[in-house]
Amino acid sequence: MSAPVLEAQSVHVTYGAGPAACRALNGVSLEVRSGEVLLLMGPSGSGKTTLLQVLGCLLPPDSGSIRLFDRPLQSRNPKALSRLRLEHYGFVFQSYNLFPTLNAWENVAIALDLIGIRGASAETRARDMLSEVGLAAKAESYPGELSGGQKQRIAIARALATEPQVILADEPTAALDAASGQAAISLLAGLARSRGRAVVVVTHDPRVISYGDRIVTLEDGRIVDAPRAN
Amino acid sequence: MSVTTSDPALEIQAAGRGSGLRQGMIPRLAWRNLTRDRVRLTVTLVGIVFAVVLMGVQLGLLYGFATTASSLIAHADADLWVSAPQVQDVDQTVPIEKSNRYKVLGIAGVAAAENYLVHFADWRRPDGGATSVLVVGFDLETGIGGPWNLVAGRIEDLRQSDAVIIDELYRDKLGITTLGQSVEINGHRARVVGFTRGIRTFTQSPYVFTKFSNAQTYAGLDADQTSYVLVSLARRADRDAVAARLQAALPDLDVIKAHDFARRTQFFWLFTTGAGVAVLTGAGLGLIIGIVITGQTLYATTMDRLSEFATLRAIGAPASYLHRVILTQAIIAAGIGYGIGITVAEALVFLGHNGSAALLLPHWMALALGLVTVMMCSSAALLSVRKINGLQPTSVFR
Repeated sequence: MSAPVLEAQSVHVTYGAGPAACRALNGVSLEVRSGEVLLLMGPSGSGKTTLLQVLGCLLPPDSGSIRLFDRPLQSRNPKALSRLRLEHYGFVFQSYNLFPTLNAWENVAIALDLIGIRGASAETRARDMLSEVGLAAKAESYPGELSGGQKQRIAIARALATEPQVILADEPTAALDAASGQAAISLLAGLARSRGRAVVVVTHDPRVISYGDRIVTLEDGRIVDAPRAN
Repeated sequence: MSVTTSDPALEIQAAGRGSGLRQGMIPRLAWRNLTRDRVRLTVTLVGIVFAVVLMGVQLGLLYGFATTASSLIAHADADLWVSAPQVQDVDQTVPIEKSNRYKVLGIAGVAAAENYLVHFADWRRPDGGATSVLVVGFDLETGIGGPWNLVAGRIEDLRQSDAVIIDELYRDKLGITTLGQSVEINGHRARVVGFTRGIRTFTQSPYVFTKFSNAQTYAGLDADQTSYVLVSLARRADRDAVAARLQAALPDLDVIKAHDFARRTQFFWLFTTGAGVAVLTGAGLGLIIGIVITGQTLYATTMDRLSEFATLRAIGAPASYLHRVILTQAIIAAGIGYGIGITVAEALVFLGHNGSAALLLPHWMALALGLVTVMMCSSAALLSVRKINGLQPTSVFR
């Protein structure tokens, strides 16, 4: 078994202070390995999205630690954390979060721009990624001209374009119909596995379960079980 | 903080870091953000154009006023001016004795000295109407202090008795339709023998050039009186040293360098009369209006794109990347607004070249206005930058 790419160890996160304080994560520990698709499930308010934010260096834990490639992420310098996200993470969001003023290949190219790939090489790579998600013919289309499923596939292409080691997806099928949702998660899981990427998917969607290698269920900020999906 | 890995997938990122000099997506994103809402872009551009035109016209007027107020000094080609004490501007004079010229000529370093007369007088038009003029009397032999930009007649024509030259801008005001027409100046006959072009006067009393002796008559001065002695220095003479020697020799008079006298005259007309403050206030208002309108519309554009900026932050864009997007939006808007605004301002300058108020927009001022426009739009973008700085990347998660 390969070494974990990403690990959370005894992570605690509390929102607010005093009597109004809300403990979102209460000693959560987990790990995810290359080529593995980990599903984070649980009821609303169980801490799934908070855990995703902590794993993605978007939210520092109050205590506990996050390790990437077995090295602790101790810095809370926003600039350093941004750089870390840029170099090692890809994100897929529930609402796609595409740029409506950019067409499909430009939406992918902007992620490449952030890591310094520009000009013709960025366009070529962005179009290649769109081919991989089956949207080569829509490269010039704007998000407003595309279906939800197509938009999510562009978002997946954007997340994978920079070849990150970790993909974090927040409810990637929630805004999609059944067929589009299955197509999107299938695509994400397939591409990630073929590239040996570690994937964490927050989801409520039971149709997604079959695409995960492992499920971690959260309740009230704690992991209640961690069965294998497949 | 960095995490090292042997993963070959990072090769693409390493390759990217080597090609960071190209412009990338920022100009494209900034342009699309700006042009997505055409109405808002139009409002932004109208604000910038209005500011540029207002600043351009006001500063052009200020520069025109300053140039006009001191034009006699600038074109007299004298190094030093000798005048009565405390003369504040070239147009409002107090007579001094002509004989001072000889004292000036006796000072080491002086190459030439000529009497020069500037004095208000009443001009009686051929149709009987009256207006105030400024009679300018100069020495015909040297030509120092004489008219320039002659478009009709010759300087030599002023050798004729009672001959005067006026500017064509003031022909209507002075009631002159053709050369050779006769008028009266302070009850003495005068005949127009030439026209200049573009010699404006700040006081709106047109300059009337004539030979020195005629000017004395028109001004009602005694034969031994003048307004100034204009001094030309010998080659390699030290201006400050000669000025000091002259001042010592003429303790009851003022000796002032031409450049300083021009500044003094400009300051007098622009800042003791309030004219300069008025036009500077107008220019300042233009700047403020530009900042407010541009700032408001850029801020609204930023607010509309807030979720996109948050997405960029979430996927790892540094704050500086977002700042550059916003700044590029501001600079694009500034560039377009400036282009339109300066064209309008230049058109107004062209249309106003026959007016009695000089509206001058030299290249250096147009360029400076461009810089001011970029700075105006950049400072207007600060509000958006401030908003972006407070943006939480976690806000992209529902």
